[in-house]
Amino acid sequence: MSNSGDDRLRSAWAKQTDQSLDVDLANAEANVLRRQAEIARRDRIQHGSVAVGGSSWLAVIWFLPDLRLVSVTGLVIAVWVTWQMYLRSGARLVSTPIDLPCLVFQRALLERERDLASSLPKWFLIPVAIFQVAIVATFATNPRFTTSQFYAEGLALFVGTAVVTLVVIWRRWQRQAMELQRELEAISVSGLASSEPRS
Amino acid sequence: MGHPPADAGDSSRVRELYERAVADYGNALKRLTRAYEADADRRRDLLQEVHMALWASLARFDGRSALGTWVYRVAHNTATSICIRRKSARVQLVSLEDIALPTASIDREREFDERQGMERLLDLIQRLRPLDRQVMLLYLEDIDARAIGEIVGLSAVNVATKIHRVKRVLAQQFQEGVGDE
Repeated sequence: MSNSGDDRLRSAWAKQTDQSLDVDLANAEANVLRRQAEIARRDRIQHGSVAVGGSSWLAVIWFLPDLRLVSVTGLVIAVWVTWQMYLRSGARLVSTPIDLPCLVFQRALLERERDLASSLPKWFLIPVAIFQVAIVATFATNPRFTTSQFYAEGLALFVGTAVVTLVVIWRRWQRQAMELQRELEAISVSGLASSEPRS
Repeated sequence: MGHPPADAGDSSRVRELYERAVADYGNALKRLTRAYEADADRRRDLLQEVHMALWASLARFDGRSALGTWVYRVAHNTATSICIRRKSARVQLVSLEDIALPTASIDREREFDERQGMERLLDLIQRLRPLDRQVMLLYLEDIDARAIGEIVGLSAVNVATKIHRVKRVLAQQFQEGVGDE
């Protein structure tokens, strides 16, 4: 493309307008504060949901003593998984300033997502598998279930579904970790990526 | 991304910087969001996210880089982080090196239709991987190669290579409309 072609294209690019996206500069700070308030409200709703769910679970532990093995295991694992998700979430990634050069920032994000995917068995699958074992142990020993007409079929269906689900999740995340690794390698080829932040 | 909030003393400075940033780069930020999000609602959300991130980051702006460099880094990084986290938006992306789009179906005699041309250009940009997308957008914003290198973190040689490729892809796509006349 000639320089005039370039200039014309860039001129057309610069002329794009989208009035629907206008930012009200006079209320910029108020807009940011309102958005932060929306996020805080969403967080409060989530915390409230956890409180309701947690107390319901505690009620089950208290009032159904024959299900304590599974309910206590479930509660402990739910708290563990939630805590791990919080620790590994983007919101906690304060060590990657958003004003870094784009390539450095992108690499940090990809590494975080890859590590999240590849470490999934350690922080998610093993605890969830332990929970499934607790459920099966309860099914196998609790008279509520062992006396059921469809006990054997129900148990087999549960075990089969749980195993298939866990394997599918594991394979999916392993694939994702490999894809992310390939993306990381792609941005590092030919010395494209500079490893140090430039400011 | 979490950042420490600005204290009361920084508030007016942040506001002043933010107003300058919006006055100088507000339209560029809108174009940037168009290039990252085809869907209007998502585009509006992204623009809000960008402005929030910009406001939150400016408390740490120390003037060692130009304000424009800062604004473009924050905007692209905010948009890219959303793009990377949304797997469905990531898997279809291609690099500039891999892109090869047909141009033969376009009538060379037809006058360049800006609106249609921009739609095609946005469609092309939205299919690019983040780094290539960033370089192409900054090139279209008429940012010079040195500044592009500073924003994206590429060496001058690599920026030159990327820009050469950007020009070739744009020529391949738009020569019939905006080429020599």
